[in-house]
Amino acid sequence: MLKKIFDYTFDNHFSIITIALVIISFFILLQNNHSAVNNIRLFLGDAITPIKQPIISYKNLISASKENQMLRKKLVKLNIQTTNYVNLVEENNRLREILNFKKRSDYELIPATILSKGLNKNVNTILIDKGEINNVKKNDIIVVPDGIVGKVIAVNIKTSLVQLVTDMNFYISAKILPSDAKGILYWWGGNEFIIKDIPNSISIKNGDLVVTSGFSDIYPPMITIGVIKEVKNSPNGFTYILKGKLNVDFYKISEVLILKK
Amino acid sequence: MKKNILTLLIFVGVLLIQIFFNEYIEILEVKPDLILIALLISALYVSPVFLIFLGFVFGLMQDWLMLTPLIGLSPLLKTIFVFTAVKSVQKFKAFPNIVLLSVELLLLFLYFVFYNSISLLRIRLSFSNVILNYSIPEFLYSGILFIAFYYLVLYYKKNRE
Repeated sequence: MLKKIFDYTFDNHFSIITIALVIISFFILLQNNHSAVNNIRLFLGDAITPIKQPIISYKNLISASKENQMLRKKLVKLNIQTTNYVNLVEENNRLREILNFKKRSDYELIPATILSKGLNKNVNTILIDKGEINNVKKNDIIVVPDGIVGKVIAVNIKTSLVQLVTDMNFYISAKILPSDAKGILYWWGGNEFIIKDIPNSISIKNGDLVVTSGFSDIYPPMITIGVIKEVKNSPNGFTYILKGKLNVDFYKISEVLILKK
Repeated sequence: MKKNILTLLIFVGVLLIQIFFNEYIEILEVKPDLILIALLISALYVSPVFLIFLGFVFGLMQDWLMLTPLIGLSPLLKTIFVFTAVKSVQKFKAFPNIVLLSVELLLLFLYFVFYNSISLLRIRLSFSNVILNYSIPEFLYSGILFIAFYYLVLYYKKNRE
């Protein structure tokens, strides 16, 4: 009997090893939400940072010249806009004082470089080169000038893991301007997002701006998320299904800003 | 033994390229899966048991180091992928090269279809969207690299003989 089992095992050892490895993989797959998973990622991230950082810096340096030209053009446009905004800010401050509003707290911005963007096209997490030593904390917000990128989900000594808006588990309370309609926004593949359950009595049209609502403890208000590109009535006839495009091009970003209160 | 050590060193080198130069080998937002290509080529020359361990271990390393959406999916699919690749090599070895190459390319395509379908399952993207926007671009890039390396190895082997 024992010999039979031994012979069978020996004859089919390749299949048996395959099955064993498949079972182990399934077990690892089921442990994805375990905190140890992120800890191992961060530990390995810290380990590769000294080599990866100069490689990424060199790549960024090459693209910096092109970016510089583009930024100069943007700067000219922004200067023109700023002149208009100065007047608006003055008017805003005056009205706030009249209404006795508290002055909004300022945010500190820490620049960070993306060390790793993942292997697949469906990127949902990134590794940045700032960690505990830079005072980065869990739930710090990551932005670029175009809008929100994500939030810090785990921090190690020199690196942090950022969950992007393009993660299946990423939900954010959003506000649509100018209607002020609020809803929960989540990713819908590629560079698209979706917002459901907005009453169709509210006027919303293509091109409307979507920003953070400020209802959450994590996300401050008025950070740009994207624009509405499709307004559809839901099957129940009372609400909208809104599809939109995220402002940030997640494949092109190489540097981000950590927003700290 | 010597062959296995050499294969292991090649895999370590491939993984290092994938980790440190991933952003340099990207074309139109698509990155090739170099470990998968190495596994597919090694299926022709390396012992099956050793290769299946390589598939599992390097799949797991890729998941840890490359920020893939689901940790454990790469080793799972790569283990199954190596098993199927080894079996197909055993079955089609006597056939002309082009048959084996076609079968391996089909396996490569199926890997990307399964990988993307599973990793994007929760956002309920349509199957055609997953195939067109994710699986086909990744397959094309990895497939072209695989064909190039396949013939390069073949040419090297012929010259050695």
